[in-house]
Amino acid sequence: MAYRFEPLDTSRHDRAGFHSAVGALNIYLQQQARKDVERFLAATFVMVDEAAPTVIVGFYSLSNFTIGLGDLPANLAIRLPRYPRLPATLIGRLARDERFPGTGELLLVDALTRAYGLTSISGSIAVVAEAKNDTALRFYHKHGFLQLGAEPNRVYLAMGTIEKLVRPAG
Amino acid sequence: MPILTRRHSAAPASAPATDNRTARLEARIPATLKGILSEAAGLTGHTSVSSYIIQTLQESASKTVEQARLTQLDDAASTAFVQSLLAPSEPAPALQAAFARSREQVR
Repeated sequence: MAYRFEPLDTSRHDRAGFHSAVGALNIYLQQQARKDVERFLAATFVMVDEAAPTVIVGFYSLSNFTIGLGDLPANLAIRLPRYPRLPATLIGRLARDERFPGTGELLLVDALTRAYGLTSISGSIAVVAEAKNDTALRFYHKHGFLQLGAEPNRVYLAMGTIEKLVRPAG
Repeated sequence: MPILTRRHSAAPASAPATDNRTARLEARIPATLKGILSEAAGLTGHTSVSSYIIQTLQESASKTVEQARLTQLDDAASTAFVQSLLAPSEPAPALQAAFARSREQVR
């Protein structure tokens, strides 16, 4: 079994055959994802099995995100430049087909790796994810994501933590 | 259940700098809701239900779109967040395992 990731290509990838447990995510992939790519709003990547490369095992979408900061205590404020708004990367959507249990974590790894790679081009201090339901929220918490502010379904992982995985020291 | 239709009016051959195109939005709603909307429109000084709906929807939609791309932290949450950036935690075991599996199964 070998998977690979590709940018969504509606001429090759079978969107209609994709069925995750969340209907809204299926509809997004089938009706909205390509439009978002064309308008530069979000990039969508799909995971396929090399043996059947038209079948979408799962997908995720990335876009830019902003985290607005309040006032910081002086000891922290001096350690960060005075940026009232910090750039981050949003995993707006992430879903796997019901026929491929266990592949969600492979989607997450690719999304985190890609987000880390982008930091050499445009800054991003964390990856933020939007959990569509409690199952998704547990998934992100299990993988180390923390709640972002007051919104229980919005979670984040510091880019410094991701770097430890993508570029292990020593 | 609302029934929505949306039609774009034809764009002029040479589109002006400001986008004056309009689209049509129709919705079937319960009669009781129509009554409430009329009352709210009157209370907020709107001359028509349509102008009330347009303003209210625009405000709500703009807020939704902005919130989808931004989180504003309060002071306490900002402190906790910045601390977690300055001293990033070790990856969770499940995430470490996922990266190991990915190296095996993803090209």
